[in-house]
Amino acid sequence: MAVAESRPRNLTGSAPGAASFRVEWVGERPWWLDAQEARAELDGVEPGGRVQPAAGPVVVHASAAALGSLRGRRSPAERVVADLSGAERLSRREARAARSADLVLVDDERRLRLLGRDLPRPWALLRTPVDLVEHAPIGTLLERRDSEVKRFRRLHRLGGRTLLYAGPYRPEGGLHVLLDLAQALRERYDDVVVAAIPEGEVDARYRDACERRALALGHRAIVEWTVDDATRPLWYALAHVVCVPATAPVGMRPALLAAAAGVPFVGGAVSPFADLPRGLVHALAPTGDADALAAQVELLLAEPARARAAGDAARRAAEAELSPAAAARRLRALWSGLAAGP
Amino acid sequence: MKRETLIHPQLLRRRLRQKANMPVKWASYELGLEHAPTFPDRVYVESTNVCNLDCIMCPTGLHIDTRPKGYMDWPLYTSIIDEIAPFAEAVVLHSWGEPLLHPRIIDMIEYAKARGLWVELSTNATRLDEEMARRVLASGLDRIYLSMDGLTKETYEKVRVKGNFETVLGNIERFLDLKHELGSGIEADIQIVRLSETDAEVAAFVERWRRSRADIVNIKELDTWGGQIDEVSALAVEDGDGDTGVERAPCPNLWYHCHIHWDGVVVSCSRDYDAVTPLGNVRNGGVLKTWHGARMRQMRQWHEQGDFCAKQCTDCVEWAWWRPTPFGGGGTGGKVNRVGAQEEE
Repeated sequence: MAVAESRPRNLTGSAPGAASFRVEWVGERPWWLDAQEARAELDGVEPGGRVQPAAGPVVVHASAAALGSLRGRRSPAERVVADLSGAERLSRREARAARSADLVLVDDERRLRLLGRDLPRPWALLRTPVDLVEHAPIGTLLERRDSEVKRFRRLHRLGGRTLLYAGPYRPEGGLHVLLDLAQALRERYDDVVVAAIPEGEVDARYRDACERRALALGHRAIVEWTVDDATRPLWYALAHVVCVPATAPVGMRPALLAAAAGVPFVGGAVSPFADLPRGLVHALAPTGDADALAAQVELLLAEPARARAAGDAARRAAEAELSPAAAARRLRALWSGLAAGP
Repeated sequence: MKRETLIHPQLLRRRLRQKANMPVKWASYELGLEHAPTFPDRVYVESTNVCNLDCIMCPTGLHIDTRPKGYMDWPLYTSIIDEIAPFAEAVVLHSWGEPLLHPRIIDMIEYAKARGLWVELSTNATRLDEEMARRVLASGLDRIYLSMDGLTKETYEKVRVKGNFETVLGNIERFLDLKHELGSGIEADIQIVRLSETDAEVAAFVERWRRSRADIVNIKELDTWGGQIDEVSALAVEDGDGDTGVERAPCPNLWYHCHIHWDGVVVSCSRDYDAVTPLGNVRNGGVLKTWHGARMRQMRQWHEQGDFCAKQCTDCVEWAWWRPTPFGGGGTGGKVNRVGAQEEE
């Protein structure tokens, strides 16, 4: 993420059909606002456009880490957006500031828990967009990173049908369920590989238990301890299915990245996967129903055409829902609605 | 103990640590403990799995391995050596390729020697020209295995496919001459693997090389790699019916030796040439973390429970090649009959 200047920045603009408003950024400014397509959507609002005289209400958009600095500087004309996207914890001061905001913005409903028992003021969901250039289907990646992709595939021996787990290394993520499933599937599909990359919290004891379980699958079970930004798109793009059999709410990012990579996602029917628009997620299995999960995964393994179609649909949905342009449009509408008043 | 060990406190401390580790390791093996405060005494670091020969008794030469080819990178190598130097006795720089093909093999030897480790490697001597021989001798390498596998051109080239008998013979003889001329302390072992193709020549081979400037002549028994490769098993001199003559026990390698492939993957022993049962990767926290890691512990537990389900273990007879003793080190990975050269002179 690009770090914004420490002093608030003034953005001036007006949304079509709405009153003029001025946006002040406090704290981090999301990286995706600098994507060309997002800038186009925010034309007239973003810096570099024609500067309008301050008129109408001011919308203060504050990142979670900067919420504490808002205290004591609000004026009655200001509308405050508390943006909790990406936040893992809030100090008491930050939580208090968020609760008094006019709008709480989250990238994932789980973030609302950071505010404690109090129900937040009006809140809105704005999914963090995915870099759809970096996270692309394998065909596109091969055009750009051919030798790197091939080397990566060879190194990790991902020649077979790969089930990718991307989630927390914690029991609620369900990696152990997927390892058992892979073991069962190997009786019918001897080229099945299960690969796991951590997305979220890591419980070392649980990971060890999974490593032990994985040993029976030999080199066809890969449990990565870390994953970096450069190789993450390759893991997703080389997967046949991304599967997170979660039994409790976990981060939604794996489902979004799977969609961006054009790979079908099968998960547990829990929030936030259950809340995602149709198309981004291929199938959800009832929590704890290993048979239903196995059936969904096997269907995709057995019918490559079905898997391809599901992956293509996911990518189309990602382009419609997860692009920086789509997020910029939504953000502009939120600011505009807020500026227009109740 | 060598004199230099006694006068260097750091070396002395390490030697004492190694000695103290032996009975603990032996006890943990005998008791079948999957986790004990022990460390491997012999660490096999695969410098590369690329080879320029197609030997008939080798999975690499037979091109049946499926894992990726590569060379260990320098940062990974130095991190391994830095970590094992305080406790390991020996580092072995060969596994499944020709180590002299590694562009930094001399640096690798020197780096390990500078940290007080015993260093050895095995070579097919195809790349051991005069310049390389001088560099190897100057590097401080402690032991070199010179694989000849044949007394005659016909036999040698039948076993070591793509090798040239005259070139290799010339390289080895020049190496031994240079060793003598420079007064190098390196232990040079001439080695022949006893298999159906070479068996008739073994006695003459020993006789010929005992009178050379080699230190030891090794007659190495054929490793069938756990009976996984029919072509290799068929080369056995004796009928390999899989009977070791002793009751199956946990493999001592799991408690004594650490095999690290060029990409950091740890395997149980050299029979897992294709890394079908990876036991972790030293990139994830280092050698000891992997040595005591979940997969390694699970593997020990399987063996302790009599479960030899890993592919390389199922039909293995090589596990019985050596037995740990309370105060002795582990084996050297192969079953070898060592004959001192010139011992009758």
